[in-house]
Amino acid sequence: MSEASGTVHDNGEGTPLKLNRKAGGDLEVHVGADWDHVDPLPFLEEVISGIRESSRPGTLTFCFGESVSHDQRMVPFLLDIIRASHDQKLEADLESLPESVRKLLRIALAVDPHEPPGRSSSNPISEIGIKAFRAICESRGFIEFMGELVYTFGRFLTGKARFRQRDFWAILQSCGVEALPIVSLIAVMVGVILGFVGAVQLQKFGATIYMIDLVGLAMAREMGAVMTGVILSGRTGAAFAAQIGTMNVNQEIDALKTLGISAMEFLVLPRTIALVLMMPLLTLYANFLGWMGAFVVAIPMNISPTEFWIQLAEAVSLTNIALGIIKSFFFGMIVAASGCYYGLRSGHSSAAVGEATTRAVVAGITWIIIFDAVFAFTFEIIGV
Amino acid sequence: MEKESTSTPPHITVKDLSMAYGDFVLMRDLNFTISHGDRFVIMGGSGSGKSTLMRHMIGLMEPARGEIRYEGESFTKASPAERHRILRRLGVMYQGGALWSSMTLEENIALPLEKYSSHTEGQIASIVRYKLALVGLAGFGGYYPSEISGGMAKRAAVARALALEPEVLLLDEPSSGLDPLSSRRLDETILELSETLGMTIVVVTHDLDSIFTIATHSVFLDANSKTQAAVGNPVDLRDHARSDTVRRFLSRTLQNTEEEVTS
Repeated sequence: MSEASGTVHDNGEGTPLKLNRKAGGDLEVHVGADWDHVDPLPFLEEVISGIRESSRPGTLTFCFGESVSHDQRMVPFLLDIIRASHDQKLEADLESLPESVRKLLRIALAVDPHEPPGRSSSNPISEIGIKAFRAICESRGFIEFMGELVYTFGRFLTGKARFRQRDFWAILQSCGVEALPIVSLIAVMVGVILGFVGAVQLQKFGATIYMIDLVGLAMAREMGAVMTGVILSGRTGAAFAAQIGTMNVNQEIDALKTLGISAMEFLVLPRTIALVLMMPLLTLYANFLGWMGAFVVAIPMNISPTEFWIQLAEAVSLTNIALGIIKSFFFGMIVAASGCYYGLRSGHSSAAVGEATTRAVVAGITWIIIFDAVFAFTFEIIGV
Repeated sequence: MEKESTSTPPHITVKDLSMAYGDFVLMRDLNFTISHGDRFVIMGGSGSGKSTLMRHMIGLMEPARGEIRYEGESFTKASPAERHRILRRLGVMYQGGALWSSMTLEENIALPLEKYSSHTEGQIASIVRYKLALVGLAGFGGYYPSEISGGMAKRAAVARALALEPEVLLLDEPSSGLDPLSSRRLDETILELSETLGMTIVVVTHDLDSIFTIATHSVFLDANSKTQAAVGNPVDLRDHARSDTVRRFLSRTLQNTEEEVTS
């Protein structure tokens, strides 16, 4: 494109871009031959600040040194210079430019740059205020959502709310049966890990057998419900958010609304019921598999199968199992609600759906942990 | 423009409507009426708020000011129950079709019927087949929205909008994203349906072919002045509109100055 001419043109004094002041307010931008060999940015800044300093109206002309290559790479720099001169009410004389460059500049200058409306000041205090306000709005939105969910649940119990049976069975299958493999894997591993860690410590006191109490109680009271909740939050909660969020993007939710079909009844209710039904069953299943994991560890520790089962039955009462099951109802509710809530309020773009999914999973897991702590505290107080 | 004192109120009245997203005013002072049986086109440049106007007309967005009336009855000020009743007389086709993706075409069309009619299952099935046949999709009932083309999805969406025998059919950009032939065919379908079923039709579009094929009446939203630039029959507007923008839009010509720039 450009013939690399090593000679520096005399008038350019070795600079690719230079601003010359002339009589009156007139300015001249000199383009030197080697503007495409040296990084022109520092010179460009100098020229622009020179233009900014000029206070008098006048014209801006361009002057080219000899053997300056007129290729299109020059246009961006010239455009910046011309825009700066327009800001100073200087008239840029495009006629002094080579034709190809002039044409491109005309196209680029045809429409004035859009001035985005002034963003609110980035004052840290107002930022905090805005964030807090948003958080309040958001929590209010969630409370409204929960209220509506409870109301819809009431309508369902009195037979007023309806949804499609087929949807319900499909959801039931995807969040129940299809979750079995991952729940199995995690539950067995948790059982093995707890059993092993416990056994190694208890062995020092010759009380290896109590590792069964440890795993038995931990699975029944805590780990079964919490692990299942976390797994389903990542698996099913995320799927709910993505599904409903995409429906939002495709205006499918709008289509429901204008037909007077409540998204709450049609989408949220079947998902919530499905999870509230499946979560306890999966928890029970996870408990059992966790114990099996401990059983696998117990055999090499010289605990006989009979000993294991007797010890387990003594350690884990039905109450302990019931506590885990009670929690799992709530965890199911949390996972379904956070998935559906973030899906419904997702924005109308693919990025927004991704964000909705992330938020649904994070919120789901966070609330599961918070509720678990609350339950632990409550059970402690009432002494169960 | 406004004939408010006539004995029967116009089918749809938009009065002093201003639309805004928060503080950002999109359009203000929209005033027009749509009579029974009109094929009304909402036109304007990209981003002028055509679809937003439609969202206001079906209650998905609330006006910043002004109101919308159906048969003289305010939709904007109506109670939720009344709104619901008015909405049931409208059929809406959304831009991309917005068919429920977890359901087949049959189920999509059957859902509003199951919800609002007392038909038996067999009756609903035959109504669904009839609606699909009306839009030229007979036999496609068992397909899922993801299995058919964009043009077919739009047709199916029209069939769904027709499910409850609406008095007004609203269509959001029926021809966008379709090849010239498919969009022409869809326009013809809309035309035929409106003539035979006698519905009022409201179409949001910027497609000139569609505008001249379908419209008997129209409003032009101008993004620069942030209000309606003209109301009337598109052919009249093309030749006699006072606004230069409207004439240029409808005859697809650029301003002289713009031509100079690109020369």
